[in-house]
Amino acid sequence: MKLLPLLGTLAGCAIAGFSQDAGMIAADAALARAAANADQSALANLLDADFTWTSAAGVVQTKAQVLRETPRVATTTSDNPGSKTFTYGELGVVQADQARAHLLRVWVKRPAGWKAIVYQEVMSLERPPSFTPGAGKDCENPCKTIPFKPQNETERQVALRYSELETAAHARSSAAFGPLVGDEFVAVSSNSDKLQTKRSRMEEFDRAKDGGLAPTPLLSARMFAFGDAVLMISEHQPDRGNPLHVTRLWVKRGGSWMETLSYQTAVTSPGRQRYLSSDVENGSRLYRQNCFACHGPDGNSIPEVDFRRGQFKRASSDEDLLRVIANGVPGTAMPPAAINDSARLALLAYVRSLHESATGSGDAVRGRSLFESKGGCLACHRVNGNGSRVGPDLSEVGEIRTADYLERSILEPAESILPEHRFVRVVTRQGATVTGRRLNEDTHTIQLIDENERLRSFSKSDLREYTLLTTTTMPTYRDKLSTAEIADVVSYLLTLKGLDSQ
Amino acid sequence: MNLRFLTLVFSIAGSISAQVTWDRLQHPEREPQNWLTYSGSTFSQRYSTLDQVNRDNAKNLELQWVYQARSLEKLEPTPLVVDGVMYITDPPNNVVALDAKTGAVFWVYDYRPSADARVCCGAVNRGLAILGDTLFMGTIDAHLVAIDARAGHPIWNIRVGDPKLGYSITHAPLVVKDKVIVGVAGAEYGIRGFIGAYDAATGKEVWRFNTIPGPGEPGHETWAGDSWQHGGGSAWITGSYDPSLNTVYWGIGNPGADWNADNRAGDNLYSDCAIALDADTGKLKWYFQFTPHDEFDYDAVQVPVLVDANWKGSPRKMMMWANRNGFFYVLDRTNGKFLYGAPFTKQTWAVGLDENGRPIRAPGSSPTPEGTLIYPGVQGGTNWYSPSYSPRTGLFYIPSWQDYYMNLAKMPAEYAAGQRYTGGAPRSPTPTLQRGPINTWTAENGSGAVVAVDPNTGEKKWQFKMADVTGSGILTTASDVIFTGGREGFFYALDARTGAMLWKASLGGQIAMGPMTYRVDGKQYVAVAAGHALFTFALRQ
Repeated sequence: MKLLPLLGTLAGCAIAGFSQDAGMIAADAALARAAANADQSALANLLDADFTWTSAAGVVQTKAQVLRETPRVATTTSDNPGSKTFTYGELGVVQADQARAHLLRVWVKRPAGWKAIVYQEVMSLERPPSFTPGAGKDCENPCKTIPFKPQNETERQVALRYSELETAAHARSSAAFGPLVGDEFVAVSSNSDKLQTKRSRMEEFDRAKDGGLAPTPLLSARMFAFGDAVLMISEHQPDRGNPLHVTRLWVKRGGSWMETLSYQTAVTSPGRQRYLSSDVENGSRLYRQNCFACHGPDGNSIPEVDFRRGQFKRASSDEDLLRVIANGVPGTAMPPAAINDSARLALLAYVRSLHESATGSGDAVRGRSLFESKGGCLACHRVNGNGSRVGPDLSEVGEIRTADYLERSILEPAESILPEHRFVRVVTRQGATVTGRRLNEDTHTIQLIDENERLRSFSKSDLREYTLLTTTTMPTYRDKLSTAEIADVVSYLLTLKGLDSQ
Repeated sequence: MNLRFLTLVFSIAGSISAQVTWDRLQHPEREPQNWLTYSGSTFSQRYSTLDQVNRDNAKNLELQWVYQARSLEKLEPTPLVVDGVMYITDPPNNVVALDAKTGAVFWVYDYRPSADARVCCGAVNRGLAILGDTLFMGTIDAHLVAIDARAGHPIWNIRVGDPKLGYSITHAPLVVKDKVIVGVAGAEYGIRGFIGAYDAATGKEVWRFNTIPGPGEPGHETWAGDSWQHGGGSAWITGSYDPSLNTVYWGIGNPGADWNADNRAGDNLYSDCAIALDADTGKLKWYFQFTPHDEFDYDAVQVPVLVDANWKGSPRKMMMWANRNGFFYVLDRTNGKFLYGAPFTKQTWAVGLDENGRPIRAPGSSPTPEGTLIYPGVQGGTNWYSPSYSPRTGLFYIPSWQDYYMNLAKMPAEYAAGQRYTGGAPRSPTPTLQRGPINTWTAENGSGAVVAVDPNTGEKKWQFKMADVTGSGILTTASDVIFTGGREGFFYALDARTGAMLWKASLGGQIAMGPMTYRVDGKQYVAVAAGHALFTFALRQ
């Protein structure tokens, strides 16, 4: 009932805020040129320090990465038909749509001129998704709590408005939704086939008769405030599929924050598990009850099907797998399963997790370079003859350890060091102190490899002191590597199967 | 935490302990405390300048420690000792690093050979080579593996030959400069043998010498028809190297089929030869064939012993060789010229050697289907177990089988891939001999003996006889002590000048390897394997 007047007010307000900025448009054109020519110095000048580039394929890169390997940029520029530009004080956006492809660039006005802070591509689905995310789930995060600690009053207000917006969507209340978004609002997502506007979204809410849907849980968010405009970049974990990298813009109008856009790209190198651990757990139970007898404990008992290797006969996407689980495969021993959607999802999560636990969820090639350079792992560890022998040799670690264990030992090395890899410190009668990794020990002697990588053996009767250290010299990589980078390293380690098995 | 981590990193970069360089391998005399190559030096004399254990105090030797192998195969390796760390193989192809002082194990490298591996004469291994920080091992499935000597992890692993066709490696590789040289065995399965040199850093093949020459290669004419294709020519044991001549020497095994020579008319080069190869290219410099057209399995399966000494009054670069065929030879190793040869045990297959060292075959000595009586028997006058040369006594010490013979019956030989290809059955005249806790071996079957030969005269200076035969190598030291053993499981210290027994220990299992010696913290140790265990001895304190 209150909808129409509200809309009117908002529209007037919002339109007043729009203005074209020639400087930004020129910078946007320059960016397209610099990217097309791989002109790194021009790019370096046009990109903000906080810049992120997200491709339709789901790769997220920082400014430094973009400068190293200039990615291919969609050619749609601001002067193409179908592109829109908006400026909100020191923040500006350029949006362009070509069929399923949606392109967003966000610009910020710095003392040195307009700098790009976001470049994001979204490729919508061809058809409506067959599965409704969050069906039947509660709206805990982000409706009631969100894992985001505001640093100031602006961030607190935006976070609050974000929760209200998600609550409104969950309640399918167009009345509550309307005041929270600007008239120019658009939302596009890798998980949807539509470009949603304020109007289409509200009409959808009004038509819906069923209960609310849980919005995608928020994992992390960053905000960049520029006067009355706030850029919010966040990561979300949908029920299934890859995490979403989402760019939102909030604008303050009439004293209230409103969302003007939401661009959601599913990312391919997620920093964490793609499936909820509760689903994997349920799926494991369901697997034992329904699948184990034919597919076997390792998921490889059926020829040409190997869940650990991600090998299927008739499926590749999640959609395919859900369909096969539901319908079975006619003419084979694979029966249709009379189980509900959430059970099917749990089975999917478990089957996918079998593969992930064998390969990890990261990029092994990138993981190797992180392991050898940024991570500095070879300073203590050795792989196939390269690196130091002070720490345990990792040439076979992918054969003998799980992804979970590897991740834990990178994040919490002190908690996860195995007793067999403990270090000892001995002080000889002559006063020499030797520290090293313990290799062997008996009542009278101890053998270790010392910090100079020498094999040492001591008679305990020749020692003044002997301490088995329960600490480790390995630092936690929690702050040194990002979650995604740790996933990459884990994936690399999982490829290490030893030389003899090659 | 981070700070300590960094400190650790920098201290590693600052000091790496000494590696086994090629220079060190060429000068073992500078570090008698170590044993860096299979034969103790690239001259392969198995002579050590350690002298703490001498003829007077050898009776005070006592057991220091024992390493029990996990395998029940014969323990045939000669250990390496590098700066207090001992490396041995546990058959077939596990590698163990031990504290040479206590026997405590630092690490074990488990190698699982392919199930395709087939070895005629035991799934054994005779030892390792080292260069830098890397150990090298040949495997019974014919791979060559490089292993990190400090951490026990493999660095590279290459396939040298096809185990399905009977290719295998049982000997310790030889390191020359930046190369690892190794040969293949398997003549009993009709292989075509070769010696290969592999880049120590990568395992990439640098050169290969075919021990059985193919079409277009010199020597090919010594094989009738296609017989060369399965002509054998194994390398069972490690070669030697002379830096002054940049020459690698190797002993080559029997032709295939072993005892049926019907289809391989000719001398069958380079079976039963000593060969001299250019170390950089693998090109043949010369060869000397001990047993042309062999019908007895008399392979030249011995380590070439290089000796620089006076020969008939003038200095000469020699090679000394006690051969499986029962003759002892002295050759000029610069050109392969025959200097001297005479039997060191009873032999009946030749009436003697001509002036070039070529044997003059005894009439009626070829194997027949009915069986022919031949001295020495199938295991030869000696076999793969290493002899020793002492520059102090000037004597050459041979682990020999005396008065030993066989009844050799020739049988048909048909080649089938991966199958035995021997063409005969050598038999013992007294077939019910028992060994083990009860031994019914008798003197009429022959006996083991250490024979001390003066290379200048061929004179047998002395011999030390055992009731049973011997498969033990020989070690000599600068205190004129000999260490050796035999099948009965006795380990002996003998007087190198007289052959008198100075000390013995009963180890309860046959000795089938070459004893070696080393020193740690001022104490001289002697190591020997018997049965399935390695024993070390030193003087009682």
